[in-house]
Amino acid sequence: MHVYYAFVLLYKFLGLLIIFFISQNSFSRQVSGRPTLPSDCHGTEHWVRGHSKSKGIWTAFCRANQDSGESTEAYKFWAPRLHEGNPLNWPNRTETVAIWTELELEKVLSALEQIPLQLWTSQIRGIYRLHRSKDFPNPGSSGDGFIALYDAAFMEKNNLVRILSHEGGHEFYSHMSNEEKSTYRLATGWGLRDEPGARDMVVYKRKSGYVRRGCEKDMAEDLACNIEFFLLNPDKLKTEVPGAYVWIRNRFGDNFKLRK
Amino acid sequence: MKSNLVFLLVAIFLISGCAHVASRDNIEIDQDLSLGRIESLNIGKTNFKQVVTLFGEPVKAVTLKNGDLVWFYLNKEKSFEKASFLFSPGGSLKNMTWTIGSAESERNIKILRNRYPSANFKERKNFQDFGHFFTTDFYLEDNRLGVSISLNQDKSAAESISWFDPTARVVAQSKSGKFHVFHDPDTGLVTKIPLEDYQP
Repeated sequence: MHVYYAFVLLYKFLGLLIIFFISQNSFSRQVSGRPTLPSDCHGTEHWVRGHSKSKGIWTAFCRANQDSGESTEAYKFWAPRLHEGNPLNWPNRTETVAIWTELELEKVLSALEQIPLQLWTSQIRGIYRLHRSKDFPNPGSSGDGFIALYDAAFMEKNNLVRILSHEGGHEFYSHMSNEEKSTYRLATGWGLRDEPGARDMVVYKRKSGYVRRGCEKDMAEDLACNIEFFLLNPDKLKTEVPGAYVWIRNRFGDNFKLRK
Repeated sequence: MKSNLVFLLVAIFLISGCAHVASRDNIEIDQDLSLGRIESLNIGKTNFKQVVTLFGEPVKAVTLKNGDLVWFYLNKEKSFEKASFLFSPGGSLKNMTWTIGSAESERNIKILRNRYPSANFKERKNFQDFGHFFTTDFYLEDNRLGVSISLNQDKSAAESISWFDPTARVVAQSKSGKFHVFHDPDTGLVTKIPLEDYQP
């Protein structure tokens, strides 16, 4: 008799389990043929990260909002900005489109979670995944509100937080007023003239004091490097370019730090 | 004051062959760098002596490799470069830029347009590619008058005004001596880009 009741209970439990799974799947959907991107989800859905692994493949999906999600502040801001394809009017035509993997999306979203809010600007319209930079092994590029992350960005030695801080610095530069650019020039020893119809004319630049090679290329690169180092290696920036350290601290405030 | 000026001018003209920067960090900023006074200068006619008479000595004077001179002036609070002037080696004014402060009424594009009632401004995009980073700048330009207003990224405010000689617009010196020449059929403007900088 006890065995009979045990079987009944087991069947009831299995039945409830089946109903639960059916209801879950009716609110979830996947994009076929490629990984589901956060930007695939509609307004009434949220992207569920690829934490479940099936046959070795990470599977993410869109789930209706009525189901409790794992959306964070960063997810809500950045997920709609992760796109597939080519950024609009991207000038580097030799660079080809890569497909995001679920793991890459996961890594990028968690790196973006650490970027300080001051760099979360609505002017950043999209983050795209491309294969190889025309300047390989460059891990990232940006321009006109778009950021491209290349294969190199996901190599073991590269730090996505560093790369995204740098590219965020470039996008910040794009939207600085001419007055603000001038205050940065005075603080860091650059002399530039705005030449209508041409590239800004570099009249002079500081001879030394760059946080790493390549940062001396132009003022936009110098600022992006200095923002990156302010966040990740502040002591080095304070020693190498004290003027930039003070300028960044004054501009963004004392809470301009990586978020934990 | 006079001896300082002589020193500055001698320094500028004696040093050639490489860019040379002469700085005067402790300079008193008492000159009136208002837009009206800047507009009283004439491209191609005004020379550096007249600029010194009007505005005093620059805070920074740079001699470029080609002999051109660039002078920078700060605003009264010394917080940013208010104006810059480019002179030919002979000392005549080639072009100049006036930066608009965040609190100045000239940031309003409508106010600025009304200042030049005879101008026929056309929007111009300038794509700048720095390699890992690119940006598109926006301008309102009248190539007949030689006036260019730099706009912010969302084109809601004016950032600076530049004046140039519309008949001789060479954007930079060419190391090779060769230029790529752009002709804008709408405006009639001819722009020469050094061939080594030209990226089709």
